[in-house]
Amino acid sequence: MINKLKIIRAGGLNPYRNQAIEKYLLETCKKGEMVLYLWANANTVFIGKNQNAYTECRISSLLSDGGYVARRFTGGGAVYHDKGNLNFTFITCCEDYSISNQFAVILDALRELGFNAEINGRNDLVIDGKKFSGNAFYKSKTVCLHHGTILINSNPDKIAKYLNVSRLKLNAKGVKSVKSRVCNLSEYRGVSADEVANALQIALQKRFPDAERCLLKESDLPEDKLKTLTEQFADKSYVLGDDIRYNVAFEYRYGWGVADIRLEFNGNVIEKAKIYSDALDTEAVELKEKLLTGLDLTKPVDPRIKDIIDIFGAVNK
Amino acid sequence: MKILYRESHEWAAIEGNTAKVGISDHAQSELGDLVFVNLPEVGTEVTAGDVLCDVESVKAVSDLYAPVSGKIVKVNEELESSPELINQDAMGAWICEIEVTEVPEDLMDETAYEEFIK
Repeated sequence: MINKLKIIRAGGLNPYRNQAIEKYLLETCKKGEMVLYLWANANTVFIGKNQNAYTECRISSLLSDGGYVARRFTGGGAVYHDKGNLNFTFITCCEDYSISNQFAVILDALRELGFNAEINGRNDLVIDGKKFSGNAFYKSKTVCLHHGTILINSNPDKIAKYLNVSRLKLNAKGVKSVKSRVCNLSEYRGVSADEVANALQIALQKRFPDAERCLLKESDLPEDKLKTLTEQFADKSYVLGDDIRYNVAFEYRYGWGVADIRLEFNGNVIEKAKIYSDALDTEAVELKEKLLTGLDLTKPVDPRIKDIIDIFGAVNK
Repeated sequence: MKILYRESHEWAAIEGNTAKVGISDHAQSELGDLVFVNLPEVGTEVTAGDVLCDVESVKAVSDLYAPVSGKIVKVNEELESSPELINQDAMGAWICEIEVTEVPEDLMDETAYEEFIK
């Protein structure tokens, strides 16, 4: 039974630091507690645990605009975060975990603010069939976590700009994102992230009226622990994925011919490259293969293969 | 060969000093459609009860725990591209093979496990 509500709102907008807080709250959640953590990230593409960063977002333009790529430890597809998007996280022990209860808190809060929100399928919250909230879940032996987004007044152009829902045929290993029609709450009624955050806290307390309420601040958490966790979430090999051996295959019509390109990654490095092409200049194609093999995507790219790398948004300038 | 189960729904099919490890049919049906299996690394030493690897289903990312202690000697790479094999045949789709150093005493045989999930 839930007898204590731990409520905390992140102070900053750094995605790695905010993930560190979330992980710390997960690791320290005790029996009978329910954590509600509210947080927002600045200009971040947030990919699912098992996604291929290179095929899910335009890393180059995101980084050159000062944005972040972050990888969460829950599943699902890529989403775009900015400060117009409020994230919530519920953490409880497995025996107290109830997705429907947690969704009810969100829906209660939004109805209180005058939004006619409903659950669509398993993971989405919608208004008029348009998604404003995506949700993802994690389960360990003892603790469960449910987190999600709430689009309030996020920049819709940025979503399109950074999320690389490519028309190319990409056969990378990993979980693919599904494109959804999204909406901001502010399209229906003027509302701020603060108002939504407050409504969520009130709705949570109404649902668990007998539970003790405990408001925490970021400064109440151990700084050294947060620092270590922040470094882990910011680690390039974690974010870009040394863990997954990528195999990317795509077809594209280049100026020099139609090419079927197969790339095998080890982390950021292309270990093998094969180009099947109708190009007449076979030597040039072989040269491209050679230039691709061993290429480190975090380093500058030879202009002769830039068109290939650009096509899946993977070049870091 | 004997098959033993953990309370967290992993199975170990022990033959000689090696064990193939997977998740039970009950576990796969609770998880729903699997979309990714994050295979453990060959060569890793695990202790029974440690997190072995994790799987992503349409519902959640879930940790799996090692049913026995030992060294991981093989992983089922077929699951990388076809995680759905676990949904189709949970007892056949092994995730990894462990060179066993210790089998905990609290594992259940099939009868006890069937009773446990009732």
